Amino acid sequence: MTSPLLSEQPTTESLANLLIRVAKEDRLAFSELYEATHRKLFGIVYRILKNQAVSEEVLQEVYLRIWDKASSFDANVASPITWMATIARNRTIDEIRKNTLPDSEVDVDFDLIADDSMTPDDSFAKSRDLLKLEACLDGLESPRAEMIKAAYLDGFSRQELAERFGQPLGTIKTWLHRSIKQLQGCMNL
Amino acid sequence: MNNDEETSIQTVAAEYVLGTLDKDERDAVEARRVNEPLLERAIVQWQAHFSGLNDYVQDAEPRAGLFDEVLAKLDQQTNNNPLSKKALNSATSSVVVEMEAMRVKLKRWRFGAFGASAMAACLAIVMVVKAPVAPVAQANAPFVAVFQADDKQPAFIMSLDIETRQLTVRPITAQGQEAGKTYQLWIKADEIGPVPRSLGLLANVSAPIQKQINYDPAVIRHATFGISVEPAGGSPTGVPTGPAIHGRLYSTSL
Repeated sequence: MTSPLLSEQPTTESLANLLIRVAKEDRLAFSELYEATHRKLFGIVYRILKNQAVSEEVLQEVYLRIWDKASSFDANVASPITWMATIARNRTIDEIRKNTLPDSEVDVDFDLIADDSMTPDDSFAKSRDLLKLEACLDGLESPRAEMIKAAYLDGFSRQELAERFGQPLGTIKTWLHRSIKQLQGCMNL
Repeated sequence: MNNDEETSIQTVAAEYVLGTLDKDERDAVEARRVNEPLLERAIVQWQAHFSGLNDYVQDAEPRAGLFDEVLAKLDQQTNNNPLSKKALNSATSSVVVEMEAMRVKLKRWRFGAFGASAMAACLAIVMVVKAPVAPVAQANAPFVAVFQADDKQPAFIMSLDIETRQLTVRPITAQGQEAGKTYQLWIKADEIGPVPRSLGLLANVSAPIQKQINYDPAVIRHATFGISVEPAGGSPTGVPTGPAIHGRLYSTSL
């Protein structure tokens, strides 16, 4: 399947309209919504779980939740894709914190995961949200910005962060708390 | 609120959104956010703050046909539960509760060694409800649950407007708790985790108490509601520690 051209990227408005129709149990709209968003949501889920089959099961649940919760979507609170991505991330983090997953399919996927870790998907222009966040992350002492990204994007627990960054758990907790405080000040400016 | 409290809320909200909390901590946050608007707001703000990072994620492709499976599951849900979401949202459903004092199900609630077994006997808890198949003409009729003090005497009646998710608990024969104890209201549903989540305290039982319940209707519909006796200020652990009983709600409509 080919990716849609840039000009056909779903807009915030078109996704919001689809969600409104999904809230009315419009399955055609649900299908269009899936078509427009599933690669992005699956990317989010898969990057954290690193297992195709488990990620697919989770993605199914994510879309069932989107169907159930569409009526509670509020465009004043979040953009449609942020709202859906939050549902996907929440379900995924619950999954990874709940279970020990089967071993990652390292031979198939690891390179793919590593490659894009610090580069935004270039089919999307950098969003304003990301630009602002990056400016704030740049203000953090190295390697704390990488730690925040690893936590958010790869779903690393504090213990995994400790291993990855070669620091005691207590140091990671301190880094997290200080980074959060600093980001809060920066983001709310 | 002082700065320390503000910092603590921001930290826990940000870590929740980042995903670095362990399972127990996540469960605790999800229980708290229902009743703590400041925490809820902080979570939503951090979700927005961090959402830009989703741009780093490379799209990926699940197996073909996955969406058909989603639709099949949707059909399955609809067949298992003939009440459509639309009917639920329109809140035209009136439900009455049949109380069961299901002692067996007490095991589903965690009891501490809180020496209040006598109180256990005088509280019954109720479950919500299979929603009715045929919507009743009366618009906005709430869901109703009866919390039974014993086989005959209701201790509390709870009504729930599924549309606004406004929940009202009206004490009937429930007595005020002795000093240092309070009633606490809980919700339990598979969708929101393995342990009951607090819906807040029922501190003053001399008047109806209103609570906003922020779970989605599909969850509320299948949830168990419970009332437990807790130390003043509420359960110290985030899950019920005192005696509690629950029953089940049934629809009177067919």
